[in-house]
Amino acid sequence: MSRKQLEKIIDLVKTRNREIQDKQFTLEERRAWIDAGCKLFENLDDIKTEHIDANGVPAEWVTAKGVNPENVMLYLHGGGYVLGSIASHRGSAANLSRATKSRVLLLGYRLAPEHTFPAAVEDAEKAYQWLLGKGVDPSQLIVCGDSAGGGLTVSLLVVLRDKGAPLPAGGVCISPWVDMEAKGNSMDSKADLDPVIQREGILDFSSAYLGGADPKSPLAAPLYANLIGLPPLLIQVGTAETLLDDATRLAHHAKTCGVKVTLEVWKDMIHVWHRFSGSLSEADQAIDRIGEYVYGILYPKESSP
Amino acid sequence: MLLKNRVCVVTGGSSGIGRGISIELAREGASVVIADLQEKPKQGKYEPFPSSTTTVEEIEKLGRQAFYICTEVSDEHSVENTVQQTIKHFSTIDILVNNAAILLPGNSQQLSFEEWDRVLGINLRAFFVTTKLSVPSLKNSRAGRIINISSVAAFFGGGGPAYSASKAAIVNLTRDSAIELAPHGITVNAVCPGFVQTSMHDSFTEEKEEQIRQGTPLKRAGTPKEIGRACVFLASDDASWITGISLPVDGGWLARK
Repeated sequence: MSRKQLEKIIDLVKTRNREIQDKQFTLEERRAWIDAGCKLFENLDDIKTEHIDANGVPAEWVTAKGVNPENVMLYLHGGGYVLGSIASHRGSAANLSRATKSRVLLLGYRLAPEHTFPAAVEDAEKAYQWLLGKGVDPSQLIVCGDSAGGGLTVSLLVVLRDKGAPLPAGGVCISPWVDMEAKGNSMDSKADLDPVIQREGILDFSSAYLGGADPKSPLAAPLYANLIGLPPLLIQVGTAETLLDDATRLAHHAKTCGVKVTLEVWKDMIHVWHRFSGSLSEADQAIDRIGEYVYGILYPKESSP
Repeated sequence: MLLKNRVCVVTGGSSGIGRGISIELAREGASVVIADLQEKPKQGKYEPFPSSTTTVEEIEKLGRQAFYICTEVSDEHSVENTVQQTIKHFSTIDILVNNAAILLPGNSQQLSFEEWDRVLGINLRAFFVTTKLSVPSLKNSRAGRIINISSVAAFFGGGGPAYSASKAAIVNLTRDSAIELAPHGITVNAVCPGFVQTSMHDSFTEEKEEQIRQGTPLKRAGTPKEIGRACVFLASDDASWITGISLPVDGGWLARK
């Protein structure tokens, strides 16, 4: 285990968090700060990007060299439905494009508090329908998201199922946030280990996103959604996360609704450790696992990319 | 064969009493869906040897059909999936056995609010959930049956606040469902087991067990099979004019109370 790598990253995360508090940023400054922080680990070598308008939702194609153009991943970024953007997650999308040999559509869905629930869900659905309209084969399409985007991934699948739309081949949830009330036991038991997320922050995000809506609304907190009939899900989470129980509860709920679920719990990893790819070996391994998983779904008979 | 070609769903059918019920229903010709959180039987101190076979495997040995569906009975979406999968597979449900239950130790000062909710969620609310979601299919059955597994603990105190309350509630839920569903030819009865050696009682001391055995007129613990045989009777046509009762199967335990 790359204990040294991890410690260095945790120090960096903590330092940057302290600065957010010390500098008393406005929301706009905080968003810019997050974007800049994520860029520190960005590697866009051999990546092409193209900005597009997906049914009125800003988006960007992020495409690595040598992808199979038939394979598409819709990526829903994290940031508590308040932060995060195409800019913050371009690097993550690039890594996933390489690992899954897919074109990745990175979505700039509307954020709270300016746009409250269900704006994000509506935008995700619009983009999905836009992809279908462009001729993307749903059996070659994967929806993936981290943190709030991981929850949004499940919400999107539920909406599509309810509307009878063609479902994608699978979903990937990285450190998903699915409980607006932060009721998981890990919210307390992992509080000392998690440098990224604490209950107070989660409740701030949920109140901004919900804008008064019921915190148990199934499309805001998919832990409470009916998940029957959803496509296979890969859920990855670290043991040093306050959101650990969001992932384990989601996996349990999905499994008991008959969904084929693969839950991976990564020892000592922190919230969305994937973004430290290049500086943390487990980040690269987790991204590779997503590649294998996606390949296993898109090409059931072939073993690896 | 008393239950030829009937389709049964047994919650908590992987272990203990539920396993005994499932096997006895199958022995009488029924096809059984095992709705449980895990497929492997729980290993407790009463199992004389590791029961490594699953309930499905035991039923297949009898030449009957069975399959397992991973089910969280306290989650209505999960139960909906189980009902849908059962109907997809067997096209009907004839017999619902609500058996899954938990026992958490502790008096009112020890039991947490969360534990209370958990016990009532599984031991009571889940019985309503499975009933509500199975009735549309049970109505189409020639002889629909609901069998709710309560406990002798329904009739006296001492079993802890949540468990005792949940088991007593099942007795009256059974009566209410019996009245509601009688016009559809569905009978609803409860079975109230006394002390049966299952992993639910792993926390009991040898002393306490001996006390229970001595307090039982038939001087021994019951077996899951003996509970299963009572369920076979209530599920069969032999019990066609019985509904709304709570049948103790307890070695005479309640006769002393």
